[in-house]
Amino acid sequence: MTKSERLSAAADVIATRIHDIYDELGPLADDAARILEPTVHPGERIDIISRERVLELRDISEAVLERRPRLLGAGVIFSVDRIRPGTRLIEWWQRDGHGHVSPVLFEHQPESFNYYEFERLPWFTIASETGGPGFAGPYIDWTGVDDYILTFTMPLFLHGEFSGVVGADITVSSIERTVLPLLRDVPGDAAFVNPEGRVIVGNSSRFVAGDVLRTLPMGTEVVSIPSPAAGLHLVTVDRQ
Amino acid sequence: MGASNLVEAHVYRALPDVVRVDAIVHRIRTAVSLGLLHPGDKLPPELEMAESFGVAAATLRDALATLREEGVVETRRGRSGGTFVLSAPLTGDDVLTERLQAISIAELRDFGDEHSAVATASVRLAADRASEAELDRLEHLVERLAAADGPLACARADCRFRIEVAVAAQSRRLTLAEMRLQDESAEMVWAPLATPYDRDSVVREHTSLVEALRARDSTLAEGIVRSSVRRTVYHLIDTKLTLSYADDDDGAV
Repeated sequence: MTKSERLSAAADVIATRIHDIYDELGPLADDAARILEPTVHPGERIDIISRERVLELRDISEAVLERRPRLLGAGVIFSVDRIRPGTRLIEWWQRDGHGHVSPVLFEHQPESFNYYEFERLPWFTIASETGGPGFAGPYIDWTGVDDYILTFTMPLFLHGEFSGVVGADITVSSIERTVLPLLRDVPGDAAFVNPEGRVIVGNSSRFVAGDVLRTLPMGTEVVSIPSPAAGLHLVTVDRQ
Repeated sequence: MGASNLVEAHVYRALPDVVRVDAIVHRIRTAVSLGLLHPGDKLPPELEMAESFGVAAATLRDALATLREEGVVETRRGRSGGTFVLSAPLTGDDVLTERLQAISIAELRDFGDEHSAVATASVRLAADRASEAELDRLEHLVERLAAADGPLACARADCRFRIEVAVAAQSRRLTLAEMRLQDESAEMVWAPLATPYDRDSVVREHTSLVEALRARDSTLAEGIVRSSVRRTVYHLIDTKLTLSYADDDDGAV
């Protein structure tokens, strides 16, 4: 295989892995809508969600984590203007180091120091503005799950109205274990980068997670990764 | 404050919420390996240790039992009794390899970011504050590294040098931070897991660092340390990348 062919081959496998995640989120959004729609009148805000329905949301989120053991967490996040005051904005479940899944609690009081202002985060804004899949990362989810992660989302529509997102997280360390073996097959220094050119995983110490590739050296090859998360790329350049 | 108090504050500091017996065993074993605790040193009384680790007495006793089995410490009964450091355990290359494999490149990069922050702050301050005696001492520690025999001896000498730079900066917090960072990395850095860590380059770096400190040139000192930390982290990343070829999985999410 030529270098370009190897690069495209790696990009295709990474695309498949990302599709695997979105393939969980589509049905998760549908299931969440099926659970919640009977409790919401069209055009009205979501009222406090009964314990019974929260458990149903937990079951569908946990099922995603069971099928995809590398994911860190999954759940539903509501749009602030679509719920009644006092209703929990985030129903999120996460596994700990021992594989045990438990709910994550977030701070929703704007005056609190740890306030989680998620409606400004790209995984929410992309989904709310485009009505399509959202993506963010790598980022330190400070005041969120406090880890170095990537987040994938799909919009949640209730009676046709945008009401929030469903999503899943993966740590950068986990995605590295998934992507690094593929990058080894690419000759030269190669990196999996996000839409702003920030390295997610690299195959050498030249490209490390978190670095931003502002200028690419001459001869750099770039291929886009065809996936619902727009703007992901693979880059490669000859070893120095 | 004497260095031994700092070592105590470092070694016996409160533990993160992980498996605590293992964490205590690891903490003391590494401290002995790196020469922060020496053969013959007496550990604090059990209750005192349990309190500073923030664990139950039974948890601490389990940890000491493991350390006794490994031959790292022994407990003597009687009036002059107590728990004493016996000998430095050798952490096997297989254990170090496993430890390095468990750390992601993203985490190694983050480790390097913190190390760089701590080390550059230390040398800037040391350039202002180090006494002539401390600079002589650092020079002596470089000679010790140059003469060290084997990876563990190199790890100890290098670690000692880096910690004493923070000591010369007169900062207790930076010294504690440097000790923690050395704890996490020194053995892995020096163990010949893939390509050996090049001692001559380190000796050269340390030598030019001491010269920069003597010249009170904080900017030069900072540059030397920044590139030294970067080289160390790249060494760990390259080592990990070389080793990882062996155990790639299918990579599904």
